[in-house]
Amino acid sequence: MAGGPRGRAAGLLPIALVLGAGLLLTFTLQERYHHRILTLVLVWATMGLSWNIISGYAGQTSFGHQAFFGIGAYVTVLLILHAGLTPWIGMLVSAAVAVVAAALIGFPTFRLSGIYFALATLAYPLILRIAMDFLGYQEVAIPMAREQPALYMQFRDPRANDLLCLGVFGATLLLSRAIERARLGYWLRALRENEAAAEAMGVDTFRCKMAAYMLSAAPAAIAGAVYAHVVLYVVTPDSVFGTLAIVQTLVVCLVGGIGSLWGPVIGAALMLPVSEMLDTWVGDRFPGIQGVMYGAALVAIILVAPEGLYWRLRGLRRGARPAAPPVAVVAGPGPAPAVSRAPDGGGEPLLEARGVSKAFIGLQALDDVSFAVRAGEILGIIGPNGAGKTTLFNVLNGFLPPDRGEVRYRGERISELRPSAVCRRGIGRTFQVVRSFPRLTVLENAMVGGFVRDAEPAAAGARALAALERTGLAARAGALPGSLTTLELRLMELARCLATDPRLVLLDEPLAGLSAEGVEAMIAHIRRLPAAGVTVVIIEHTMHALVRLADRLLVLDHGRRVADGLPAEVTQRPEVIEAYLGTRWLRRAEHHRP
Amino acid sequence: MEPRQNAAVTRRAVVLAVVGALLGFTVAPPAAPAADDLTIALVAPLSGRWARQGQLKKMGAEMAIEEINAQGGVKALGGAKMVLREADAGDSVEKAVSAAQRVLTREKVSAGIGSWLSSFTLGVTEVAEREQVPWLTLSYADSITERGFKYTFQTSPVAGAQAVKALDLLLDLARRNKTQIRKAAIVGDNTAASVFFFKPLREKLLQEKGIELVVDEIWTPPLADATPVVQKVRSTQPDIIFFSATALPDSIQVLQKTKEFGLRIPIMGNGVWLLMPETVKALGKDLVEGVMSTVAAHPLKGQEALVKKFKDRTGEPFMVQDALMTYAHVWIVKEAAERAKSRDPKAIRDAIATLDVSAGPAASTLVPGRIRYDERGRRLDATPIIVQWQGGEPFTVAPAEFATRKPSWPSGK
Repeated sequence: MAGGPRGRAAGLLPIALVLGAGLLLTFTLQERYHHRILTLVLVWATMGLSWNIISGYAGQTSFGHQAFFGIGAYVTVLLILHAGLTPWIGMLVSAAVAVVAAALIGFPTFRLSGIYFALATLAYPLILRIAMDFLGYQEVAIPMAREQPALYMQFRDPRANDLLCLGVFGATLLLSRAIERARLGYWLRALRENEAAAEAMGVDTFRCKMAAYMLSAAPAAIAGAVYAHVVLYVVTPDSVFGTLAIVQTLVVCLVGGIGSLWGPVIGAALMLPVSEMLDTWVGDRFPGIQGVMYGAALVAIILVAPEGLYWRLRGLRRGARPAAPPVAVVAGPGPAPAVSRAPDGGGEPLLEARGVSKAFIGLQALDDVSFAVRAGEILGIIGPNGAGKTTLFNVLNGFLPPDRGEVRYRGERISELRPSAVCRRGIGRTFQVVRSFPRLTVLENAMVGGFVRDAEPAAAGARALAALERTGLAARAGALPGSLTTLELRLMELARCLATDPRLVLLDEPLAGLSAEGVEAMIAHIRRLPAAGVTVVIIEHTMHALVRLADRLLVLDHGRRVADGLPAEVTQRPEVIEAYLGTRWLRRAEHHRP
Repeated sequence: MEPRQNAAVTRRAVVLAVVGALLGFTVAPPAAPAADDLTIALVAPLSGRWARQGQLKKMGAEMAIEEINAQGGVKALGGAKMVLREADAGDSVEKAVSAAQRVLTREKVSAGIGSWLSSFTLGVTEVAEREQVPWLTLSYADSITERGFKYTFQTSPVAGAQAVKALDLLLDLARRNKTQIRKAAIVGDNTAASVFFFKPLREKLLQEKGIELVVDEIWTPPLADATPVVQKVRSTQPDIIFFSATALPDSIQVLQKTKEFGLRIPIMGNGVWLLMPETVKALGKDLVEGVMSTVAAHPLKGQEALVKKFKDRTGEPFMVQDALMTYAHVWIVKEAAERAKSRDPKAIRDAIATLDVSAGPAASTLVPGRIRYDERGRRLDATPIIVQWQGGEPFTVAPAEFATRKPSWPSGK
C-alpha cells in the first residue's frame, strides 16, 4: 500500500488482484446459489464503498444512504415499465437523478453538523418510502423479457450477473481510489479530522461535502438498479428504502473499516458469505437462530477489531516494521515557496480592522477595535485571559462575522468571506491548541495547506515538503501527529500554514506549552518569516517572549484596545500594567519608577 | 492491568464460542432425502416479522404429507414418500429469493410452495421460472400471474377478482338478512394490505353497485384517537364499514369505540390478519364478535374432521387460511405426481396445468370444490370466503353452500 513516487499506477495492483479474484470465482463457481452469493458480495461492497465516500472519507455519517440505492432501483424499473427504456441506460439516468437528489438533500442538510446531519438523513428514505406507497408502487415486478433478455439485464447465465456486478464494483473501486488520491480526498479527510482547521487551511468544507455527497450518490444508485435486476426481481419500498438496506451497508463498512476503500470490500467479502452460510446450515432447520448467530459473529468481530478489520490488519503490519512515508510525493519538481517577496508598498496597510465589535450573549468580546498591520512587520497582540485575542483572530480569518465594523485585506473587504476564502487570499493561521489532522501524516497535514496553491497532489506535496524543511520537520514527514512532541506539533501547524503560501500569518499563542528551548526554537522560526515575505500577527499572553519578538505591540483588555506602540514603550504604560497585574502592581510600579 | 487482561480473556472466549458454534453446525449437514422420495420445497418466512404465517404453512404441509405417506405415498411412483424441504424466507425479498435459489439448485425438488408475502412470491417465482420448477402460491397480488410465467400457479382468487366477488357475496348476505347496503364507510390505515383492499372499492366497485361512500377515513399507524373517526361513522350511519387497521392497537381502539357508541353496523375486513388466534387474544371475544373478513380459504362445511385433526396435532385453537391452503397445495402436487407418473418438475408442471379434480382433500378444501388452472396459472372460479367471528372463533358464513355457520347480521338501530 505504501507507494513510492510511482505516481499514477500506485494502488492499481491490489485493485487488479481483487477484480482478478472476482473473475476467477465467476468462471470457477458451479452452483447458481454460489453465484448469487458472489453477486451479493459485489453489490453490497459497492454500496459500502459509496457510503464510505461521504461517511468514511468525509466523516459525515449518513443513515439514509439507501435513499439513493432505492432511487436507482425505482427509477430504472419505472423507466422500463413506463417508457420501455433498457436498464443499461435507465441506470445511468437513475444515477443522474440520485446526484441531483443528493444536491437537493445536501444543500439544506450540510448546514447542520455532526449528529444533526446524521439525524436529518434518516428522514429522506422514509419520505421516499411513503411517496412510493402513495403512488401505488408497493410491489413493482420487473417484467420478464423473453425476446431480448440481455438488453433488459436479464441473464440465464449467472456468470453474466457476476460480470455485471464486478464491473459496477470495479468502477466504484476506481472512483474511490481516484477520490483518495486527488485533492478532494485529502480535503475530505482533513475536514473529517478537524473541520475548523480544514476550513482555515483553505478547504471550502461546504463545497467539499456537497461534492462527496453527490459523488457517493451515483454508485449507490447504480448498485440499487443492479440489485433490483439480479437479486430481487421485484422492487418494494421496504426492500430498497428500508432499514435492512442501510443496516447491511453499515455492517459491511463497520466490520471492514471506515475511511479506506478496502474496508467495505473486506466487510462484504466476509459478512455476506457468513450470513448465507448461516441461513443454509442453521436457518432452514432452526429458523431465527441464524440471526442470533450472525449478531454474535458481528459482536465478536467488533470486539476483536473495533476500528474495522482493515485498520486492524494494517495496524498489525505497521507494528511489525517501521512506518514508511505513506505518500507518493517525496520527490518531484515544484515551486520553491520560500522566495522572498518585495514588501508591499509602505503606505497601504496589509490588513486593517476598522471599528470591529463582537458580542456573545451578554459578553462584549470585542469593542470597537481598530488597528492596521503593515507588510513585513511582526505585530504582537497581548492581553490577559479573556481579553478577546482569539475572538479577534476568529473575526480576522472569517470564523466569526463582526457585529459592527469591517476587516480589509489589501484594500478588499473580507469580513463576509468564509475562512477558506480568506485563506486563499493569503492569510494563514494557527490555533491556540494545535488542531492537527491526527490520522494524516505530518506531510499530508502540510499538503492540505499546499493544495490551496496546487491542485496536483505531487506539486502540493513538494510544496508541503519545502514548508516542512523550512521548519526543520522534513525528517518527520511520514510520522503521525500523535507521535510528535509539542514543539514539533507547533512547527507542523506552522508548516501547514506556510504551505498555503500566505502573505500574512495569524499565530495564536505559538509558544504556549513549550519548554525554554522550545520557545527559543519557535522564536527563531518566527523571526525568519518577514524576510521570506510573510507578515506576522501573533497572540501571546506571556509578555516577556513577545517583547523580544514583536516589532510592535497591541494590547487588548476586556475587548478594547488599551495601547499600541513599540514593545518597550507599551510595557511601561500604566494601563497595560493594570490590565495585566491589577492596580496593586500598578502602584508598586509607579513607586519604583525613578 | 487486571481488568484489561480480563477483557482480553473474555474477548477470546467470545470468539472461541462463536467459532465453535459455527463449526458445530458445519459438521452436521441436514439428512439428505432418499433418491426415490418426492421432495416439495416450502419457502416461507419461518423467522422474523411474518414467522407465524410461515409456521402455520409448515403445519399444514406437514399434516398433508403425513396423510399422504400414511396411505401409501405416491402410488404412480411405486409408493414414493413425500418429503418437505423448508427454507426460511426471513423478512426481506433478498433473503426469500436466496432461500428459493438455495433450495432449488441444491436439491432435487419436484415442486415448490410459497412464499406468503406477495413481494416475496414475486421474487421467488422468478427463480422457480428460471429453474423450471412448478410453484404454488396463496399470495393475492394480480401481478404474480400477469408476467406470463409457465411455472407459477396461483390458487387464491387474485386481489382484483377477490374484491368484486367478495362484494357480491356481501350484498347477497345482506339480502338474505333482508337488508340493503346503500351507504358505506372506509376506515383503515395506509399500509399496503389496506390500500390494495380499499382502492378498487373506492375507485369503481361501490359506484357500480350504487353504494354511496359516506366516510373515507385513512390514517398512518399508530392512530392517536379513534373517537373522531367513529363519530363520523355514527353521524353518517353507513350500512357497512370496510375496515382494515392492520396494527392491533389501532384495531382495538376502533372496535372499542364502535362498541362504546353502540353502533350496530356490520364490519367487513380483508385478509387473514383479522382472523388469527392472536387477534382474538389481543382484542377479546366480545370486541371481535360479528366482525367479518374475506380470505382465500377457510374450513368449509364437511371439513370438521380435518380441523379437529389439525387442532389435535398442533394445539392451535382453530385452522386458518395459511395452514389450510398449504395443506391443499401439497395434495395438489400429489394429485399431479400421480397423473404425471414422474418426479420431474417439468412433467409435474404439465400435470398441474391440465389438472381437473373435484374430489379428494385438495378439492374439498377450496371453493368451488374443483381445481383447475387457466393458461395464466390462475385457479378457475376461485372464490373468496367470508368468515365471521362467532363466540371467539371464526366461521365460514359465505358462500352459503359451504358455510359452517349462519351469518349474524347486526341490524336495527
